[in-house]
Amino acid sequence: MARKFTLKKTAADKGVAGVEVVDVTGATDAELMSISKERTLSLNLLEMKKIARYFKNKKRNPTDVELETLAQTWSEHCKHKVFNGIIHYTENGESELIDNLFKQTIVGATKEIRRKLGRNDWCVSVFSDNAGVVEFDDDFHFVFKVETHNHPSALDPYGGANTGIGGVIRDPLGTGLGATPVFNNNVFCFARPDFPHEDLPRGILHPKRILKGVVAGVRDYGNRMGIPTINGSLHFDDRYLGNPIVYCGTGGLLPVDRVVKRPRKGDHIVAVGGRTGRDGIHGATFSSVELDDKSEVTSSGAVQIGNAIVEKKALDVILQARELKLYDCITDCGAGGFSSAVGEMGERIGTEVNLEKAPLKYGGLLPWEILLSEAQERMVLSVPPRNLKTFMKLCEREDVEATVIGRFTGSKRFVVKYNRKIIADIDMSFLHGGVPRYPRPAVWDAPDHPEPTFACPKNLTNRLIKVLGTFNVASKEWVVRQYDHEVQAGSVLKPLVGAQDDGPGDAAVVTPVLGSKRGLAVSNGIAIRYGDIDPYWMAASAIDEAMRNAVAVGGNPARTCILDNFVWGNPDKPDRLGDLVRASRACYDIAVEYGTPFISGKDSFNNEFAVDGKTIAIPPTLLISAAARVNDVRKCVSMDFKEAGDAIFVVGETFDELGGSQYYQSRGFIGNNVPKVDPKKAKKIFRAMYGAITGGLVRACHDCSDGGLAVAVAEMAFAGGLGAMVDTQKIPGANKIDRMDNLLFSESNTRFVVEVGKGKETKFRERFKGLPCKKVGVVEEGDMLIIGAPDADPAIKASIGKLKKAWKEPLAL
Amino acid sequence: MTTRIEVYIKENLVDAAGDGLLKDIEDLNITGAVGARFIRVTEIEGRIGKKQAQRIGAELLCDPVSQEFVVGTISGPLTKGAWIIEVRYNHGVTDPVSESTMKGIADLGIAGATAAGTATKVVLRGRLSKADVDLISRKLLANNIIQSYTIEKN
Repeated sequence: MARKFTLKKTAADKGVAGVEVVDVTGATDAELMSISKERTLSLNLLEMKKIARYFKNKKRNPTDVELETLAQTWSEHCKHKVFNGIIHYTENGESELIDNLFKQTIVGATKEIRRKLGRNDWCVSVFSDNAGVVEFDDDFHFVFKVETHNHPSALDPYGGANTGIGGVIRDPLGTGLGATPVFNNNVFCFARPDFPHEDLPRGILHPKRILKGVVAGVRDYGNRMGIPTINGSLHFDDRYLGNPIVYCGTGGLLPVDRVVKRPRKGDHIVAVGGRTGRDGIHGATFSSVELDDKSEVTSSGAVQIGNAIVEKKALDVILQARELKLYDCITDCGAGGFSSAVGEMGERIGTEVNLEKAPLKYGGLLPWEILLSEAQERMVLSVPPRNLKTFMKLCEREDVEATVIGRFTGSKRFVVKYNRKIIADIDMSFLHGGVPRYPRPAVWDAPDHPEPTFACPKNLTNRLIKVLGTFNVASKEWVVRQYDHEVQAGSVLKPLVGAQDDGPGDAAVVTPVLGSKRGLAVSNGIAIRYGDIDPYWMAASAIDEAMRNAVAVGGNPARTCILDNFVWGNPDKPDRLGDLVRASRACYDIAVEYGTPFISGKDSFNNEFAVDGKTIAIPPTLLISAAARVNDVRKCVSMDFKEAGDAIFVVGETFDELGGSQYYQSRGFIGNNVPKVDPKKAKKIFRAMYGAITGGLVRACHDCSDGGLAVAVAEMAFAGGLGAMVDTQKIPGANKIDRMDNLLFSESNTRFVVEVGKGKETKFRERFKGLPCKKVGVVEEGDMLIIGAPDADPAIKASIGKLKKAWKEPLAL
Repeated sequence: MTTRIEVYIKENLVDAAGDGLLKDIEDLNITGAVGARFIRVTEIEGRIGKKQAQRIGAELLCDPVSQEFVVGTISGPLTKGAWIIEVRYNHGVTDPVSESTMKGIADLGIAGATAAGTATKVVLRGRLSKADVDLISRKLLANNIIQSYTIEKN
């Protein structure tokens, strides 16, 4: 099917070593699919036929360089074909056609919020650059991006996570004219670390090994880059056995006058940073295939190893060049390598790349490999001829390799040469706009899980201990301690807080401009188990959780931006796509009501693992990352109880909503009563809580999430080293719930446990007038946590030491 | 010529990575492992004299507070009678530590190094069969996509 290079009309008449012409114009459908599979192009028949037709019109066949470039540019990773495509959606028997789910929901929500904000719109650049940009202060905008690096982390956890964080750091750096990274955050999903070795399917690394490798990879890269890792979480479900999820995020600051970037005709294309090797070939298309027990062999090229030192040097030199205004445009070299980076930068004007100029780690790379390599630590800049000498001198002085690899031409074509011979020549309009859209079926039917049958235990102390010790609730200190939370000196609230700095903080707070009181509260929300009941409420709960975490420390809910990261199974299976529709619609509904714009995001599909004829699909997983502005970081509060005698309030109503809860899971059930969100009421609660915290009325605040009220109060008590007494009859909503276990372990949304100091109770109540808010107890001296109705034996009575031990031990790996 | 330098945690100090490995071995349902120590191996190609190798070990590779080093291969009680597993990257895999090592050697003003490579050596003690050690190597120490390993009984 392949023959030696004879590219007619556009190239020299002699072949170029290592370049093949692939016969697609004369290929049958079966042959086209065979080409796609053999070359890991991840293109379907429709796409292959479109490519064949394009080249038929050109009266020639494509080179492997052209075919690979199209495959990378058209990959799901780069073009988000599922989200932007056409969906025939059927929900509980009713059908409809959805044209571009992404535009309708995620982008639609932001558009609607910005419309409502009008002249007060604080979004700067959303869904148009490598990361989202919003206003921060007079001098800087805030830039935020979260990525996933799942497939590489499944194969090589250390390298995969290492390059995951390295890659996402380059996103803010490649946004506008380059943002300075100020924090990292990470969220991971794994199978249980005590998963039996003997049950492990072949071709899969043990989840504990993946966990340790991923943590080490993130730690080594983040710490060496001198960027604090300030926020994150870990989640466990055995369906992540073959497909762990590794979310990596970076926030940065961009000077307000460095937002606009545009390469100009005649600018040099300059590659800066690492050299190109064979590592990371086919990363973009590899991310669109299902893994199986052969993946570790067939896809080993997708594994990359990072070098933080090289990236740190590149970062430093770029920030200097940014200040000197030496370049017109910048982007990172991520998925698809030079083909995507250069292709996207030159989309509107055209490019000519001289591939032989690219500095290589070693010889022997084929031209298409050079173009597509996803070797790490590389940035691409467009440097005007007048600045080239100064720019190259700067790089030389800082020991950073910089190489001119081509020019922006104005031809509106993507042209690649190798030793002066053309080996690729594609119209930019076809490269970026040619990918065909096609309909996919999607179905969602409400499931019906068996409801629990067990009676309410009389003594819930042991149940609380059990829930505290589940991997999802247990302390993540073993992981958190490995990260540097303080480098750059802007950390105000770190991930671990309390009397002994080991309590679970709701959100991190940083003040990235040293000397300024302005800061950012950074948080996340994820509600995996709720998706087994209804992905709509899963997504709604994730947004609510991210929001209440940010508000709990003093973040401004009216200036909170959010990011979406969907990690899903195979979208060609209608049930998986149906889940996506449900979740996306919740994103629109809740975000618009809360006024929290999505500013950036990413999706990752095909997270399924096939072995022995069985497929393990991950549960649909949506991470919501949030960053809220903090006007005065001195007013922020942590979650640990501070002083005996203070009042304990519960804000927000508890409902009988244990579907998907940690409590049900610990008893072997899923249930159906999934926690819902009342967005109108929630918005009022968030506003009131923000007012109470910034008004100095709150000494500690903690959101209720996994494990419900019982876990939240226990965490506040042992984090503060103080006891507490809680009257369950006073909990808002208690009168409508007839079981004590349901009241204490329900995971209803938009709830906070709050410590209010002496003399401030009246003012605090006034803030929540008309909203569910009640004093439920008192912080006490000593070490006993007592929860129950006053006229009965306590439902929970335990020393905080015992509870803390149960919480800290499971993940001390 | 290859100059080998081995760096290890002082014997009287806790080797946290080694202790972590022992816990992971228990998870594999392999009993009998009683001790594990990690040794970081650096191999430098080129003309490096003995004094220069000592300098590289002392000033670049070893933390004198918690670690010791030998130029060559460590012998004596630390490794005697133990299983020795050596894990190294496959050819072509980026090895950032070796790249930084080359830069560090140049910064010390030592010329003559042409290349560097790294490996991890694990000293494992206890009643373990070769099959046990092989399983430990595969499951816990080496990732066959990017690494290979050797096993020896000292």
